[in-house]
Amino acid sequence: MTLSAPILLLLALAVVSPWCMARFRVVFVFVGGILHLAICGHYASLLAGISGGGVMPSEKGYNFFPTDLVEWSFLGTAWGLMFAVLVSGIGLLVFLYSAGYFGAAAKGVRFFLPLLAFEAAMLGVVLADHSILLFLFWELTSISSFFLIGFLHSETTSRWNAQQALLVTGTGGVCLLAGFLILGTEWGTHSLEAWRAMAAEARGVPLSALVLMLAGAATKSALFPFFFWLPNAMSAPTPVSSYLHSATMVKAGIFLIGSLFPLFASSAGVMGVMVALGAATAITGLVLGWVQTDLKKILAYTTLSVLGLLAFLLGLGTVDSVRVAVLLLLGHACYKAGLFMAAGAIDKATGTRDLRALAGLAKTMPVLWVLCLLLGLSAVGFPPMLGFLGKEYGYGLSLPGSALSLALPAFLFLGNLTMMVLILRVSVKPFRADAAVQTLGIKAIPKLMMIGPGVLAFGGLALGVTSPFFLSPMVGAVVEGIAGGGADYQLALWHGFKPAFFLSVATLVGGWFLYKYAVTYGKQNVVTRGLGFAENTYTAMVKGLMAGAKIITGFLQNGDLRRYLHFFFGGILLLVAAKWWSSGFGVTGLFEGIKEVPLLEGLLVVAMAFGILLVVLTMSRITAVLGLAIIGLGMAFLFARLGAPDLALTLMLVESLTVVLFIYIVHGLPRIRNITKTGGRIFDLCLSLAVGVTMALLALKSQTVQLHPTISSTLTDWSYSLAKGKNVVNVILVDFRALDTLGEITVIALAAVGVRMIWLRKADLKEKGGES
Amino acid sequence: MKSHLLLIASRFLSWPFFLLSLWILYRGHNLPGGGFIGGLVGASGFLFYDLSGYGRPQKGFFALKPFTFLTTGLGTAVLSGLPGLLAGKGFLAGFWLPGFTLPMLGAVHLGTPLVFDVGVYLTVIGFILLLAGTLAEEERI
Repeated sequence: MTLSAPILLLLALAVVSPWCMARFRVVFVFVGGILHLAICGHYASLLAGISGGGVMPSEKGYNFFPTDLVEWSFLGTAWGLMFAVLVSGIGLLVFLYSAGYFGAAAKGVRFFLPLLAFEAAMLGVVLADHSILLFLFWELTSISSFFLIGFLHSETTSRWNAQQALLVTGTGGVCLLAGFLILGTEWGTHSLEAWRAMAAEARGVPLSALVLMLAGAATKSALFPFFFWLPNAMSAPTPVSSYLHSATMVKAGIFLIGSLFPLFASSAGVMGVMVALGAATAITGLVLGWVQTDLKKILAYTTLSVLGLLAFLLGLGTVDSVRVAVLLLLGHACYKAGLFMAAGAIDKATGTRDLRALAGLAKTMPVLWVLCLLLGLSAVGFPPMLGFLGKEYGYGLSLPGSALSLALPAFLFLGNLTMMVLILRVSVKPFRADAAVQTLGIKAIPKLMMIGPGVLAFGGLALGVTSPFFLSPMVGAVVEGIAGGGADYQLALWHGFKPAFFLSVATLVGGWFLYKYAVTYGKQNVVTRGLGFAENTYTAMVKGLMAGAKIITGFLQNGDLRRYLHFFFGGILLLVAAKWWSSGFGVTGLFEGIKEVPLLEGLLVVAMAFGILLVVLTMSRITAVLGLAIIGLGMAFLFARLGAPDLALTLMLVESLTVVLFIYIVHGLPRIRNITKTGGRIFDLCLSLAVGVTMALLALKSQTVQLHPTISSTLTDWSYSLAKGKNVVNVILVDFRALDTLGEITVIALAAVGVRMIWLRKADLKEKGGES
Repeated sequence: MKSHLLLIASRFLSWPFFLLSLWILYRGHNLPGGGFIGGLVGASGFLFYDLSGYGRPQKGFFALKPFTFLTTGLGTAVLSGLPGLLAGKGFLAGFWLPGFTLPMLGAVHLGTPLVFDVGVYLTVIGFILLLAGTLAEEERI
């Protein structure tokens, strides 16, 4: 349980969190914080163990599902454990930040349930060794993300954006599942470790599986052309943006690519696509980010470009490029989460996130100014910050003999330059005095909200300075785990006067000048409008789906009870008749099984026929209900006579209850009127006669035909020996087929809630109508 | 719909119905009965109680909200499946305590299927109460 215990703990904490938050918030935050700290330390010690040359911790094959499809098995690879440390470490900071962000507000009560569930799921994704288990956690991250993006659920845009993220990542999730199933079937195992080993033996990987898995990764990590959901997800509260949509969840796709790197690397075509998608995403993010004015949106677009860059670097596929990706990812997770938290703090203090309205905060928020400066320095790659490593090693990349060898430094240079401008706009612009902008007054912000940016800012500095000793073995182990080499590589902060150094200096100087003089945000242009095509396509698809659904619903469910019955009974008639005809059943010998009709049963049937006539002919609702009661009770008596007491009892109760409920409402209903014309009534009569005769024939036929061997005697035998019950009907319901029953009572509960909702809406409308 | 006969009768009917429902629930494993029917009878008991105090706010035990019944019921049913899951025999696999004998009840078997049936019982009660409550409010609009 060394790997999965924290996941279960976090899930348990998630379940009790609403209750705890409502009653003892401070204790909950304290205990939750300690738990996070312990979990982070636990994973960090495991990671240190591997970096020092130890074996990977694993948990094997506990089957929690009665088939072999899913296994509760985990493996702590260096890559996975590095993510686990990031997820739980930044999780701790976000946890504390959220506690400050929501304070005692009622909204905070239900916030931690999806947040902690997400954290558990994300840990599951990065540690699971069984592909289907990974998929389950993957989907849980999508679902919890849905609830978090739509957290401000009274706003239409929040709901729309949440749905968009869910549909895009959910579609990708289905692709991922398909890919896993193809590969699992082809190779006979679902273990990721086994897959990596098999791919390393140069076994052919099915291309379809690779493409499907890449689609899953691309939607999750918002790669081109699926990028649009990520900036829209900024409608979530800031703690969510900082955690899910910059540091962790959006990197799940990158994690998957790294985790199955040997598989992807086996196909040059797929790697090429990855490079192209990554480059396109990086450029898109920067181009669109350039014109943004909302702090969170700018950060979201720079996140996009970093995600693209990560996919690009992994796609290049060399040990060096993988090392750059790992360093970049580490740096980005730290500074971006911190910058988001800082943006949230600015928003909280001033009430706006608009770049154009923010200036001069250095005087009023000096601590945040220092932290933002540190985070910004890491983001622009200033030595000796953690972010410096990724950029510097990126400039040092060489691809001998590749067509990209000259384009690569140029691409990185332009990317870093633009990125630096965007980062400066977020981390410097709001703080510097600007004569043209009035300085906004600020509200005090909770101390808890400063912990996250503080730790990440100074952590970025400390990790950067100590990287040659502290990070080197870990990064080495991670790169070795992904690309199969580079374990002994020694990180360094100084590389001598090489081209990379001059490119770095040029970036920093050029970025500063561009930031100073290219103040062109807030204006859309041809390119940014053109890039809207991806989202427009999505919108058109969703709208089209809704329009199609409306047409079909309008046809099938027009509110006319007669039409429903026509479809229903017509369908039964057609299906039964078709099956009857195709099975070659004749109509001879149907009555052979019937020797005699006992008097009592005969009378019951006659009484029920009388009830039917009563229902059809009467013009009074009360009489009609009595007629229905006669039919129902007659049926119940028949059940009782024919040896089905449970059924009889249930039917009797349902009948009585129906009558009682009917009495509740009968006097509110209008009188019965003849709406249907004579022709229609004759058609109805023919249809009901046809259905009745068909069902009667079917019942008779079932006496003489046995399509499958009977199981009733087996069940009766099992009932007492296996389930210790003498009432086989009940045993079937609560034991043999208990899952079915669980489904049924869920439906019952949902139906009740649905009725309630419809009624509430009606009452709401009535109230509004009354006012106007 | 104010009938004094019904008012007075329902005052005496709610508790017997309630006890009867528990009895039906318990005996379901060996004889006709079970959570579903028991729930229907139990819901009738609650409805009678509601009728007897027509318009009065309910207090104490009977003030339990339908949603509480629904969620508790579903929760109980799901929880009854966990022992099987944890034991690796699959979700909802049955577990029984050793049988013992009690006066009046005879041989008693307690196990997770009974707990599951209690979940069904509570869900059905919640369902009927929510429906009846909604219909009753509909009337008042």
